[in-house]
Amino acid sequence: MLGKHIRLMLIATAAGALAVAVIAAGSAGAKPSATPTIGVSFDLLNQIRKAELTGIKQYAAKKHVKILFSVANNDANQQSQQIQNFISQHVTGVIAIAQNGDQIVSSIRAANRAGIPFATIDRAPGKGGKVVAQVTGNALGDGAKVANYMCSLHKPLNVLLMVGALTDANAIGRRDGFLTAAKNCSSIKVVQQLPTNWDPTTALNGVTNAFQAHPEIDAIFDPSDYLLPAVVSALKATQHFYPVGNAKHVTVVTIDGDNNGCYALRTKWIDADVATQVGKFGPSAIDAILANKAAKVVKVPGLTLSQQNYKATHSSVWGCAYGPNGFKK
Amino acid sequence: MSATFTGATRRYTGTLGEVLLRNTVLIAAAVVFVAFSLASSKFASGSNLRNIAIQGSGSAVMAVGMTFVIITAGIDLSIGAILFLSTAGAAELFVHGLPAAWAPLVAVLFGLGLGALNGASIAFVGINPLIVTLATLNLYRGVGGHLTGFSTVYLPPGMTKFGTGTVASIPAPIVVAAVVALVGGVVLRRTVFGRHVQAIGANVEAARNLGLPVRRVLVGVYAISGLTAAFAGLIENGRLGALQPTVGLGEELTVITAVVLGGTSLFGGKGSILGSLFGVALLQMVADGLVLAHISPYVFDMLRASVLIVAVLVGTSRARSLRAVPIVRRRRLEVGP
Amino acid sequence: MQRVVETSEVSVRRVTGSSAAGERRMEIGRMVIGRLRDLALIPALVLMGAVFSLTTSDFLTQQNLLNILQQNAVLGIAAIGATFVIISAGIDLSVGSTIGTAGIAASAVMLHAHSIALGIAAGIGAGFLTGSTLGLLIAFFELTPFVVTLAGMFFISGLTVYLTKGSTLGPLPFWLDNLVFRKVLGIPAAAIITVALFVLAQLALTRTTWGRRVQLLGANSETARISGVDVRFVTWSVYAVAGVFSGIAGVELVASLSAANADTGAPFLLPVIGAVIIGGTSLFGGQGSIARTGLGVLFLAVLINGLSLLGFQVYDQQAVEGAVILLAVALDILLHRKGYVDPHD
Repeated sequence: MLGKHIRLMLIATAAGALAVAVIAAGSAGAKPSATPTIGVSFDLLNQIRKAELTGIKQYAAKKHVKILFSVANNDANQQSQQIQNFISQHVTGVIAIAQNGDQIVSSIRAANRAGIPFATIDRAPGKGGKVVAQVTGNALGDGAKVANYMCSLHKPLNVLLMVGALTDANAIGRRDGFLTAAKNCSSIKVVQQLPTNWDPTTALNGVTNAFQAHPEIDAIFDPSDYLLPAVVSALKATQHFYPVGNAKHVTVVTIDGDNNGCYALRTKWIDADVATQVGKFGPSAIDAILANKAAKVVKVPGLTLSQQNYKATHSSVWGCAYGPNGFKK
Repeated sequence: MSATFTGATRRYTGTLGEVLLRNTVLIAAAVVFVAFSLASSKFASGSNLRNIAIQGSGSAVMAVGMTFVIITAGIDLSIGAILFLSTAGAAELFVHGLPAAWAPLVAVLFGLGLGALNGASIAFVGINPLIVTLATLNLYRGVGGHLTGFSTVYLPPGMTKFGTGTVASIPAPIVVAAVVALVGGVVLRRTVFGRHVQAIGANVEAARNLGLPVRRVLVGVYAISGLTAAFAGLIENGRLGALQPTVGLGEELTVITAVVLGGTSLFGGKGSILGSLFGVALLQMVADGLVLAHISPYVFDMLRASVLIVAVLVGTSRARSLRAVPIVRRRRLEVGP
Repeated sequence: MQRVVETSEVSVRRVTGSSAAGERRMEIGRMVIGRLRDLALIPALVLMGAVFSLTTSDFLTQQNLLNILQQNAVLGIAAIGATFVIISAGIDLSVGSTIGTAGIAASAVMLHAHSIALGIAAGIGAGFLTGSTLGLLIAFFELTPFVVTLAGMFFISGLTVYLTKGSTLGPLPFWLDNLVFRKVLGIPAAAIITVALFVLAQLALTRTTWGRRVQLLGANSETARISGVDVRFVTWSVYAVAGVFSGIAGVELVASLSAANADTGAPFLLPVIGAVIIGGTSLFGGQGSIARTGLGVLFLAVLINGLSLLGFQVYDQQAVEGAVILLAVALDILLHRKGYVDPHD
């Protein structure tokens, strides 16, 4: 009477409902283990994320906390599901780097409903959920630090202002911080802004073309060490690549403090790198979860590593612990 | 030996629409060039044109391979990932002891192999090219990411010379692009393989009936696409001096748009490498021009997408069904020497 | 010297072998394979579930099973629309971009017009609009579905990113949780909505004239035309319907995330097509069912969930997902080639 497939569907649904009912009656799920377990959800994996993960794992080991780790491959929906899985696994807490600050709010609220403390690091979440900690770098502050460093050189600079992806709040913050601080410095003049979408090839082409259009450029603000190979290659291609100390050297200041930035400083290619102290993110977040109290908003300031203070400061910069990968020039 | 199909080839050798389209890209490129030159004195300078040529050479090289693929009514979305993985494989071997001089050859072989893998899935198993290359797009990039630990890997001079070197004071990227385009053009127009590619694209059933080695040719076509992607990888990663995990992301869209813009029909059967090159040139000029004019980068993405859909609409000839076993109407085939 | 060769109608079904015994073997083979295709998926699903239950204690919990249902509502709803298109021997590559755009449209209206109902209507309407436009191009201009929906995918997502400048629209009213997480009789609303849509769609496919025409069209468009089916209208309609379902899926997606972004829909393209094929509907059209797609969705859902709980990193998950989909497609093609797939199910 009923179509074959309708029968199929009804049987499957009935079986499923029966199974769910049986299990519901039978178990409340895996008992939360005695060791606190924190679910860590990242948006993607790269150099800086690996350093953040290391910071989390090392501190977790110290505190005898187990870590469950997942990466969402730039997919906000995936991240939401992965966090939901953490919640159903009865984790003690969740630490997340949001792929999308607004879209993570629903995960935060889900954790709130389940009574699981939620901490966000690196990227600030949108409003609507309660977090026990929000530990980020200070994008505005870092951008300002770059401008302040350039100002401290006390020479007139025509600056090429590179910008990251326009959808990335950190990128926007770094740009805006720079612009605000640069206004107060008479020696800095922004000659061109260059959106790069965080793509190395776009940055390479853009910087090359920028020199074409504005040959007077003698300083570059690169908002991430990720684009450093592109900047250096562009300088070489346009015959503007001179090491620090040379009269024709183009001043380059970056942000992040990864191994490539540190290496570039050591070999005197760039002038300064405002390091994001990613090592501090994990411990703050873990402490906040274990304490499970009211929200802590922490903006960890960047640490300027420069040619001037390299000897004294480099040991505090996370990237300096690793060398560059591949061919070492 | 050539076969003519009455009722079929008539549409495939230059209908007015297609002739117009092929010349359209030429005219459009010329118009854009003139307009930009008038707008800025720096645009037509030797060094600026040299820059545009260098910056477009990666896409140009891949456009040659993509032309072959699209002529067979296929598509290859995985070229950006192959661009990354081919260099990644070679770089990892270098880090583990492979002499730098061998690395470019290894990268090229990887590209060939990865492309052939695509081709085999498409030709011998019969899976839709879109589904295969959509899957390998993710797969190849994931493998490359694991190989490089998602970090930046600096490349030795033996590999970067394709990006930053010169041949008789001509930048290496331009030389590579020119050579690949020339060889590609010769292969497409003057070799038996090339004629087979066009025949398969025009009508795969008829080609099969004629006894053409359809499956081997298809594998070859995707292998060529992978090969050109590997060359593009040597160029683009060479220019950067380092291999980075997001390199080439999304570049397939530009390449496909350039090829379609250049007159190659997505329905298969006809294509022009020269047209594809003009397509690349046009898109590259527009991209640079927009940046120079400080216009939002989203405009380019939108423009590129609109261009593609317009090109598809304008370049229409005959609808070719996705079905592998078409219902064949009574049809007269003329077969002869 | 020229030879003129006349080819005659090539029928979809091949006649193999001339012996009666051979014919009967084929017949039995077809029956067996047919039943297997019908039922193989369920044992496979159960087997997979058993494996996961044994390897991780987090799989077979009420919470997790309900999660699986709720998390895959978007995939399931979109797959319904895709099933109709694929049964008609077409394909819709724009499904991912339509999901994203519908979500944006819904959110924009909800935030500016302060009306959830209007927003939902806008989302579904946006889906209908894009599907309808693509359907028009395919049906009336006789353009290849593959090409049109490919270009459409790029155009739709490019336009949406441009209009929103890549930004995220939100936060959306919390009431939307009722469409996703709110439990009715212990089952999340998302799951209820999805199952209801599946039943409706299956009825539409098998019980309505339109549904039968879609199947006929997919099996043999010439025969359909000769039998008086308005091929153009039916072709247009499957894409419009697919657009509607993508629109509903898009609304469900932004409801679950409380915010909309143009990119959020893109990852759904491969799993949607994969689910349909794994479920047993052939890319060649003419046969299949919505119920089967439901099984396909469940299969992928359980697979990804299990791998996630076991700690597979997402890149490995994607590799497994991609491999499984490729295998399913390969199997589909091989079975079709051997003549085991009977278009009239």
